[in-house]
Amino acid sequence: MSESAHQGPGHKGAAHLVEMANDIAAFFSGAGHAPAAAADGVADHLRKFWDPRMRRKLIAYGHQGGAGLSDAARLALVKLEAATASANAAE
Amino acid sequence: MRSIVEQDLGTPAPKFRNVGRTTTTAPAAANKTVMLTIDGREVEVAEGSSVLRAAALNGIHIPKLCATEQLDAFGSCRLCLVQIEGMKGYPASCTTPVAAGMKVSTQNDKLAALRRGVMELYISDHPLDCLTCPANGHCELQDMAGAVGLREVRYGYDGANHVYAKQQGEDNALFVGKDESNPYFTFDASKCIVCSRCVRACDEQQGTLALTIQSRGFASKVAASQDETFMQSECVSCGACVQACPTATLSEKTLIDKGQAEHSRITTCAYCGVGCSFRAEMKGEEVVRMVPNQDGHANHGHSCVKGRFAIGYATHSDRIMKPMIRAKISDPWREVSWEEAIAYAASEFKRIQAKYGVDSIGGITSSRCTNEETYLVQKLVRAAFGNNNVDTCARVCHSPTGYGLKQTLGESAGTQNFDSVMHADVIVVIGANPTDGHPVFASQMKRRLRQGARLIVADPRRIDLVRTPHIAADHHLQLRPGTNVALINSLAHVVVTEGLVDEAFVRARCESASFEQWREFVADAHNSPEQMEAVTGVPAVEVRAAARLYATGGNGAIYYGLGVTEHSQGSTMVMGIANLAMATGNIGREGVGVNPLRGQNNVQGSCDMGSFPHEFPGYRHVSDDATRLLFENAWQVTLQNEPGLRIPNMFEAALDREFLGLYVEGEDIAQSDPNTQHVTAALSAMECVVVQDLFLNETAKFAHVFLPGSSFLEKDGTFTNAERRISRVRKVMHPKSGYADWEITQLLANAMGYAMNYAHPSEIMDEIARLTPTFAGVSFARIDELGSIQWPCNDAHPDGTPTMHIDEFVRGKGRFLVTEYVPTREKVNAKFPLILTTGRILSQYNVGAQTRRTFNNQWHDEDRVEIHPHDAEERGIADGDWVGIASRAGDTVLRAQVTERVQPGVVYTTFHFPESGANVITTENSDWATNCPEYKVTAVQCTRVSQPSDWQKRFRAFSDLQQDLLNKAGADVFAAK
Repeated sequence: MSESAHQGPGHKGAAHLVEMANDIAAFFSGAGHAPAAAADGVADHLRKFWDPRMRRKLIAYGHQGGAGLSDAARLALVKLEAATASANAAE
Repeated sequence: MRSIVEQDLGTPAPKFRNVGRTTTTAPAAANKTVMLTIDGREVEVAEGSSVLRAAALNGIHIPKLCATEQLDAFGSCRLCLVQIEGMKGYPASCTTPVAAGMKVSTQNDKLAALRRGVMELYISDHPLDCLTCPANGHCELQDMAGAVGLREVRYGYDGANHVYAKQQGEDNALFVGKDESNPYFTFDASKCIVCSRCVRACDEQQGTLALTIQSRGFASKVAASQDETFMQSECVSCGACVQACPTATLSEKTLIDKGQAEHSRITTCAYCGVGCSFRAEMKGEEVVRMVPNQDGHANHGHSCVKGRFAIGYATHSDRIMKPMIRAKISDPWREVSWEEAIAYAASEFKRIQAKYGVDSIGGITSSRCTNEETYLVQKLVRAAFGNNNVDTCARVCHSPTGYGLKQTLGESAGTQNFDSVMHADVIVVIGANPTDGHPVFASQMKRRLRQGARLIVADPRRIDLVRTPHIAADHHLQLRPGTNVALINSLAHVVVTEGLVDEAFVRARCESASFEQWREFVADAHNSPEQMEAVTGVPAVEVRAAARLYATGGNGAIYYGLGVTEHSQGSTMVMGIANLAMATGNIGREGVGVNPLRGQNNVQGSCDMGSFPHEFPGYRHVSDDATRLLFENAWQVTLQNEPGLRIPNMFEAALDREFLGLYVEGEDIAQSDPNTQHVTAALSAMECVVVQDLFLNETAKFAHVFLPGSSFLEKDGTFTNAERRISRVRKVMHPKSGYADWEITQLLANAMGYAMNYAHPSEIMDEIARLTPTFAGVSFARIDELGSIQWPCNDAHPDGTPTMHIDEFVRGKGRFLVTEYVPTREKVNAKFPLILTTGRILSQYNVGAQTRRTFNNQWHDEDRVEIHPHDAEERGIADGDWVGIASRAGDTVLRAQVTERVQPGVVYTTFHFPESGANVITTENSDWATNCPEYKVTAVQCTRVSQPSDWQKRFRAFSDLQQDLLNKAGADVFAAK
């Protein structure tokens, strides 16, 4: 985990979000699911259970290189961002 | 002494006993009745009833002393004897079952003479201080003396007796003085008639077997353990003996102090998730004693030391009675009017929202609140605050249950009622300690185990249930903390590879694609018990034997607790349990199922009521347009369609200065949530923390507004227990601070500009029922009518639903999910070589805010760290030494208890005292799906030390300061001493 993910005293910044996203990805990667297949489950989970602020932070962190994110988590963020953009466009 | 309003029918209703695969599936002898004649009257009663019960049911009262409906018939007092045509002699009516055509006489001269003779003998060894006796007014012995017309005692009082300490100037060897060692009841042996009701209550009802009849003949006497005092003995102070006693021998100290109650009101216990029904026996607005309700559907007249006795907190002098405010947490508290406190809280919340945005505030509800209160708090947050930042303490206990069971079975709740355990043949207890955490259900479970059901325990620690009087687990799978999923996968591996799958059930009831995928996954060699042994530490042969027993031993029922959920893979484990139950067909009927044992009284209810940030009441996602529209129309407001912050996310957002206002009702996050220093840093960063509670709890020390709440005795509402059972909480006294909690939330909503106008909590439940399909048939009137209701309750199930998923799963077909074991990132190493796991103890409850303010401290007055002798010796730690416990998150100091209950490499503690700082050590690691903290696995080091930790010193200084700031508010804010 890069130090840049930390943001201040008593606060883990994006580092904690990265860990959480990786844990979610680990579940959906069970039974040898490829990252692409797991990413749908991860994106759906983030959409259903994460406050939008947390999702935005992690997407932004992904844009900065996303150090430490697993492949499935990284792919999920791309899917999540695309879905959010198309939903916004539809409104 | 029984309740003042209950009629005792003498013997229990006839029971159908079933043990073993063939008999469990046989139909019960349902509704068969028998006709007989009692005193010339034709009566009809259930087959298997005693003559005593048959008579009592028809208003014919046969004298009795050793018989009580609470216990099986015993036939020792010889007072209930009757004459039956064609039968020899005078059979005891309590032990004689009814038969068709029987002709019974309960009263005639011969019977009267016999009974008078028996009573005369009893009274010849009993004190005659009736007028000053605590049982006076409700003494069965006195009543029987009256009933049989006893007029004289010819034997006199000069002979051998148990009544007088001295006789003719000499010490009386038979006399035993009062035992007042128990803080809640006394044992006065001089009044004992040796009816054995207390001994039988301890055996049959509680299952502790702490009491016995010692010696023989006239020397017979009741003794606790090896003739010790009650406090020194194995007694767990459940009070079943006190309730069973027909005389004043065992009496509540409050009864001795206050005298007989004059009225009685049924309510529901505010402690654990068993949700026992009680009769609050009252003198005006004062509670004389709590008596478990014989008709209580969850507890059937039983209780534990907390529910029956530990209610003194409700009138404790620490209780705060007046609203208070302060601008900064370093300021003294100032007593203000309700109007000023509410206006201040609302103006602060509005100021924060204006400055930092609509999402910058939120609320936390509690499992200690009623359904109506939690519903109102989430409504306040969603409708008045305008966001979804609402969460509840289930986040940190059973949120993985909600998620895992919804994903697999389709509903976020346990599948059975408690009584279902009486039909189980194999009971599996995983990560739960029922005899401490859910004592009344544990008693029922032990009753079934004594009848012959088999037991499998999966727990890192040797909990009491593993070996306890008349019970021994067939298998104790003593796994390493954090390896649950590895264990459940290897159990499943055995089921799948040894052909133990219930193929017909799976074919008919489950998704075939997901099952095949799961079958392939668990069948893989890496999930075999042999390969997983290195991970779990459990011998493969034990795992194989346990799996075979569960899959083939008849009805298999799984009970689990926080040892399952409070892990980084908590949700995965819940799914793993559901997978296993479905694969073996152990779901959808009595005696089987997946049963989460909920920690607190209203965990189930607070979740049902929409306390989670992503769900409306009834577990419907906020993004579901139809549901949201329903609530928008009902509440006349626009609602957000995105999930809000969960409790740990709130802390992170506070430190980011994005979340700065919090309304907390009945919850103590500063003590109960992990990584205390992180929590308190987040609370310190907030600009307005509003705490509504009975006491200035740990969270309130960081608050700006304190709103004094009401105890469960002071309000109306409902609690929903672990079996989805909705029971009434009934007000027995007026709120001591002026308002019931629901009224306070309503005041706050109105001050925020969102109108709420409920006149009574029943109106809130009516609204819940209108908006929630699973609650459609629920109302206060309907609960009063049925006694309690298990949801779903609607047109399809007008009387509720004891067993779920009977013909199909709530989601349609059962869904198997692949549950790959992922080790926690909390790893032991040279610096932190031990694993700390946490749990609870019988006498204390959760953060202890209630039980620490009762005599229960006499059983447990500090949290200790349990350590294996091997680990202790390596570190030079002896029993009672101060031990420093350090983790990556923090450190604290506790006294050691050296014990083999824990395995080498594992240490254990409870978290009931804030100064213990158990959660200073626990980390922010959490369940991947729900953020439920990983309380059960923390890598630590233990060292012998001589002083408290730095955190404890800071905690003490801060607590002293806060107490000082509270005292400055003046003595008026406290309850009268």
